Amino acid sequence: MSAENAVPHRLRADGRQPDHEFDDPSEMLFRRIRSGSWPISNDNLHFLIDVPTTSVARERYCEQPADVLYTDKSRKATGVVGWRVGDVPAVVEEKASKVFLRVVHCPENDFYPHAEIRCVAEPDSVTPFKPDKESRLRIRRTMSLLAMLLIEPR
Amino acid sequence: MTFTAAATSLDSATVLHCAIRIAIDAHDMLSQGLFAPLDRTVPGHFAKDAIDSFLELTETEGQPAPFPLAALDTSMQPEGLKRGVGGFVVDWPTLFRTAGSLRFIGDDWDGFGAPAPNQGATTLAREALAHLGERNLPPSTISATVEGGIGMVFRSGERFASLEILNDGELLVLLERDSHPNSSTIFSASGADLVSVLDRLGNFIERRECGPTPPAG
Repeated sequence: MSAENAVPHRLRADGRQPDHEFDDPSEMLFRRIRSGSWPISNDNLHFLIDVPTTSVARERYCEQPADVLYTDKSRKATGVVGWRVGDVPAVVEEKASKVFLRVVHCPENDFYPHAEIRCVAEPDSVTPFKPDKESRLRIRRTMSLLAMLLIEPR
Repeated sequence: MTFTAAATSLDSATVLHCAIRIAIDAHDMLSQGLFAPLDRTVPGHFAKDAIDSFLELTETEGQPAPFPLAALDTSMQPEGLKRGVGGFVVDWPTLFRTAGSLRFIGDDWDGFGAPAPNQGATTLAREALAHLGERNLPPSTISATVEGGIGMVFRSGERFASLEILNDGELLVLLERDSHPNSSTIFSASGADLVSVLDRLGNFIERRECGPTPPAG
């Protein structure tokens, strides 16, 4: 890895513990995306959002949205989309089933801002829960409609 | 392989559909090592176009696909698909090529571990394109999907539809109005029901059925 691509020291955990407070609803959650020959839009982003755990980076511990690109070891990701913490729905319903969404800070050694938007079975749980396909699509589509394009992929 | 230039009484949509199906069948037979003669009759120039598409498709499939994979968003790329005389989309081969090349993107194509589309999803996606071609209903995007498979989206005004052809043979569909999650319907179906699913999707996009009701207020 070249010095240019190395994860900056400010993004490393360096012994820091998880910060479980998400008290600022305007805090952004950054998500890296790969693309190129097709424009990302709210209509097709659901093909790129994996459920039940959507990996993101906390704005509070980043200097800029592009910091999340350091998490792609192969450096193919060039675009960033994001959600505000307050925009992440607490619950998504599909037919008779309810799926709760939680944002969980789970730092990695070389990337402290790392967090996940998780599907959980109970509101107070943080254990990921895999809903059925229809519910997953409902969540992917909901998150796609709420997403903001922050950096257009090259 | 010979084609008889006749059947002038067939309408153009039927002819196009036949030509596309022949190209798919020929490709599938080649890929399976089967060389059974084709007992089909279509006008020669349509067949030639379809076979040219098939040959381009085969060439594409012989090589690893570049990343990022070609998906096509015609709603934002006015130079992408163009509608030809008689309302036909003249660049269907691009859609077929894209569908054929997607399975070569390899696993972890998104950097988060998503599986690549498999052969079954690819075959079904091409079959879907053949039916969509008959209806002149091109998807605005065709792409791999994180669920494992090939996804297509369709938009007409406030109407939106998503079709995912999954590696396990299932179809996952969303029909939506007004970009509002509460005004959408989601359902899954077996790949064996592809034609009826495409009919329902097409009728919704073409406003032949009401679909989900928008939320009050």
